[in-house]
Amino acid sequence: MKGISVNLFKKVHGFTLDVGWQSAEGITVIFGHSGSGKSTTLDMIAGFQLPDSGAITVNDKKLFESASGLNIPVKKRGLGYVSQDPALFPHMSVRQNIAYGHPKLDKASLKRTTDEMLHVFGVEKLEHSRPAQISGGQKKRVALARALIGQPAALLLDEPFSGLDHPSRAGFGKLLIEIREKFGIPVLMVTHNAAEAMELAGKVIVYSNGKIEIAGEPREVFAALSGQTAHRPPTLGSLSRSTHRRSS
Amino acid sequence: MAGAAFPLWLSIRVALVSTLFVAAIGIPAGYLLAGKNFRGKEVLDAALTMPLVLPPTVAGYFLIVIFGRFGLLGQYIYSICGFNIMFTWYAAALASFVVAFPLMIRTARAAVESVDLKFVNASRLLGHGELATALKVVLPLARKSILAGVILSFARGIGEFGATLMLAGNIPGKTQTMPLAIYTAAAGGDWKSAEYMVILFTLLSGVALYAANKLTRKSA
Repeated sequence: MKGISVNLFKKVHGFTLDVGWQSAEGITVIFGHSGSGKSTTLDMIAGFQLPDSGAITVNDKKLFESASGLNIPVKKRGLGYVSQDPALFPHMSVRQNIAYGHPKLDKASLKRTTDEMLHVFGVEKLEHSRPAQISGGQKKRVALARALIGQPAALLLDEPFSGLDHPSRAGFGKLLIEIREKFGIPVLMVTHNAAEAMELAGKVIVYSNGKIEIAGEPREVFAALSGQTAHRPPTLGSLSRSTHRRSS
Repeated sequence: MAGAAFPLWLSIRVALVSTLFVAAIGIPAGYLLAGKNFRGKEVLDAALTMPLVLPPTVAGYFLIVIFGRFGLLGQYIYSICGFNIMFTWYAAALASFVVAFPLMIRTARAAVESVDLKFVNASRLLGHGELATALKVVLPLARKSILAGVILSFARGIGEFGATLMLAGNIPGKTQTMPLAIYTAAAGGDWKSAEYMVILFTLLSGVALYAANKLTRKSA
């Protein structure tokens, strides 16, 4: 089954992260305030941080399981990750940055695939530019192209809209939906912006102090959060049951 | 001043050879010290950079104990290939290597540590291993500081005196490098030759320091 499933427990410096969820069809958004554990979750899925216990599965492939001691190294996890800072290599051109994302292709195939990605992400004209010479929005596009050229199993986005002006945000949101459709991979996005979550998410998971406060379809979740509905916020158990019903 | 030609040539040759080895060993060593955590790392770092604070004559003494005709390693080298490094220009290169190596390792370690971890993480996430990340991301990003370290090591190596005197001696036309020739000329009252070589040497060192500073500033 395509999707991300996690059960994570970690204690660090007085903060406890204790969450368990499954991603849904479309883009799954982790929403919450700073320090609620959103980025830590992404870092654990990517392999930069180890949970104290739990399991991480992406498209039925186990990446981490504390019970069996399984821990796939970062370079073998096959995930695309775009953080707030696109982290483009400053000594490489746009083309070189994108091509670097596919270490296993031969030269001719790499050129062809890179050409295609430059076109898909609308950055053909910038192929010889260095990251310092392009705008913030263009950097994000290049970072996405670099993350996706290697056909990752899933795409992780940490506050991808940060640093973008309003018109760029709208275009970037549209691009994320197109990416989700074109590449057909689970997309997990972290944000603290409710409008972005409402617009893009198929499922929203709200974090608060390292725990899941509520999760489900964006409309329901934000209605519950703003107190417009009378029912009690669902528990994690009922959420996973309802997610299961929706996906079946 | 024809008398300065050989010492100058020998000094450059000695410094070039020692810098080659300093870079070849010091850059990977600095990289490992920057990027890896292992037991005894700081002790190893202190041992490798010790010659930076030791008087060169002490470094020279250790070199004699290790590489001398009856030294810890020297006796085996002599018994296997009949070669004794003492009083050869190789000894001058070895002395230069030992005093310049700490500079390289310190600079390389600092240069690698200054590379933002986000680039290393990005490379690993994109499926690249440690070697590819080192060669294609970290070292290119740290190249200016590392190059400055190479230049500083060359400058330190070319000016080496104490350890060279103890291990290679001061044999005109054979092991007499420029600093030794300046010492000999000044000690013998040949101030004109000493002055000429001092000016030449000062210029050479000044250019090296200027280049190193410029590279360091650009990489900051």
